[in-house]
Amino acid sequence: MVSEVVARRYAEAYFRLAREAGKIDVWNADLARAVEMLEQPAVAEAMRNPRVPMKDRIALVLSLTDGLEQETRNLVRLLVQRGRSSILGAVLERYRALADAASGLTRVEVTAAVPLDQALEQDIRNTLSQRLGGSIHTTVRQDPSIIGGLIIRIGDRVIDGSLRTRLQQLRAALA
Amino acid sequence: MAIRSDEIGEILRKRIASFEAPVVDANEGVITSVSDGIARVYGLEQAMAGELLQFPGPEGGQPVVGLALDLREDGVGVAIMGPYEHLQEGDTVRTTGRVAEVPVGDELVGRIVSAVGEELDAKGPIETSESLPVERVAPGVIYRQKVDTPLQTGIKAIDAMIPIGRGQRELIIGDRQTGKTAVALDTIINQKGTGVICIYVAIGQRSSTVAQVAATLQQYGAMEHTIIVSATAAEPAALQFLAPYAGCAMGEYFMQQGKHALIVYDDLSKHAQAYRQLSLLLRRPPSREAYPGDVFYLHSRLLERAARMSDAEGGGTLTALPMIETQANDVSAYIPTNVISITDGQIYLETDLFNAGIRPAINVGISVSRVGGDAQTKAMKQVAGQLRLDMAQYRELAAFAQFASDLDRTTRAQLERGQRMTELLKQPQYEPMSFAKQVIAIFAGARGFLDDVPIDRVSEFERSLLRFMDQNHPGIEKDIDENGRITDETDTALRAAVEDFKKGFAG
Repeated sequence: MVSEVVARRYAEAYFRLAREAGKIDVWNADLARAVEMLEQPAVAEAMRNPRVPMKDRIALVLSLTDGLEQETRNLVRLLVQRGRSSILGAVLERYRALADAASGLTRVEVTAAVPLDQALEQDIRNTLSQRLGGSIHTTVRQDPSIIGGLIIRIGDRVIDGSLRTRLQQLRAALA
Repeated sequence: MAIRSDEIGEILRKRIASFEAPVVDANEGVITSVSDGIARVYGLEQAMAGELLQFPGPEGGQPVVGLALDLREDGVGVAIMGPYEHLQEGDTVRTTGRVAEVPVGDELVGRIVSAVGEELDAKGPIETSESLPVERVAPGVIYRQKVDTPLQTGIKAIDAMIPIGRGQRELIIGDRQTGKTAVALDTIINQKGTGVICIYVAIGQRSSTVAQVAATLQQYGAMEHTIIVSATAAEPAALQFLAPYAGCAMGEYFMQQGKHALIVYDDLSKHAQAYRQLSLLLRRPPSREAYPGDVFYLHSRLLERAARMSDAEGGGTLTALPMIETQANDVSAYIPTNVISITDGQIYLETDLFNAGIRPAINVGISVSRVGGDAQTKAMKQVAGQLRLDMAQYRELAAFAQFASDLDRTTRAQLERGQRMTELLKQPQYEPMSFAKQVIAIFAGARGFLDDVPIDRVSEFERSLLRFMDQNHPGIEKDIDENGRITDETDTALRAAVEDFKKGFAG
């Protein structure tokens, strides 16, 4: 839980710099690339292993992130230096949330029992866009165990119109 | 009458047809850890303090409910009020939009219920039309008025020297096995026919003890005006924490109707311990005796809810009798000092007195009622006004007299009187006494009619006197009861009657 708070602080700082530089999307791609590099098992192990000297670790990440934006490399280096390289994934997550909020984009996860066709998905996006404002990005998840209906997740909020939940409510009412 | 199976089918069909399941719009989080009845949940950004949260139920069972107690930036600490062994990391938790509440109303009277108002006595479901939130802010200054009506406990020593008023909070404090519960039960039994609804809240007790209390109240016909709220030692700490507030909400309902209610918390030491457990598991910093910093507020906000409402608000009352169990008579421990400072007085019960056969084992020297004389009937004040002081002087003298062999006459008289009054104030359990009878008994003692009765015959004298008065002078008792005071004529009549009786009492 502590790392969550720390990751948010780094992400906010990184995002502010990105906005000033006007390169929110570029830095996003760079950070994603850096995360990918550092999450390779061999690299992650090297970062955790106290036998690998700090100097070598920094040299390693700098060579891995060669060709990325200077600020991204600085961020990775700073985290490695402070022994916090493991939170990089969480930083990316927070950064994306900040970038989405800045551009008025809401990410929504839609769970359905059956595959959704394009028209229906568009319909959901339009309805949510009217209710929430801004543009909507949907990720569709298929889960037959909800039986029917839809579950829409927007961050912590959940709008549950699934048949499974209704049946559970019916059971509670009849008990 | 048996219900035919097609009728059941019809009922079910109707209920299913009329069933409406609105789309759930809630906040969701995931469990990151569960242990000892506490869950940490990540997410739930919109959860309210004290909100009920819904956990998945065990296989094939109903969902489990939890209480959001600890709101943090990155999650919520929840006390789970039910089985939690099936919960796992990653399970989803939803808000319900409701804060904890309990059913309230006349339907509860005569029942045994849990801290969330579910029936525990197998007498069928409790259908009340209303419910109230468990946690409420106590009525403010302008909604209250002075406490001036007595709540008769039926116990001579209390009604005469430590009178309790309706709307007062009087602490009952003492070691284990000193008769704390007995005092409360006698008080509940004595409320029969007075219209006072009693609520007995059992916190962290043995289930067998609660069953025994229920059986006793049943036996003396006191269950008809009593609600028992039970959170036994087997119940999760969250429910033990909630029980007194739940009982209080049930009492407040009657108070708001302009009626009178009495609530007994048995006992608040266990309540503090349940809260300590929750707090430590929620990782709140411990302070003295490992209780959390807000353990004072825990009890002050509960006991402040006892009140006498102003006439504009209906004039209802809620009297509270909290109990505290001390260890080896140590009243300077943390919880006892806290509750002593919150309440309007305390009744001390002591092991030494109990073992010496003085029962109820009330130490009248250090017991007080801060509302005191205001809540005492005139008649009782007339006969018992001096009693507290006399008894205090008697005890002081008795301590000295142990060393002195020959005493002057006044001292000896004072000692003799004190011994007889002590004897007179003894009272068997489950025999609460009516107000008028108490007045007559104490009248006899305080006016010196007992001075030449042998000590071991005092209680016999008292019993026979009361029977004699019942048979030969029922008018005097009725007069005291109706007037609430002893007029000059009554005084003379009473004096004559007692003298008359003494002639017949084989001395």
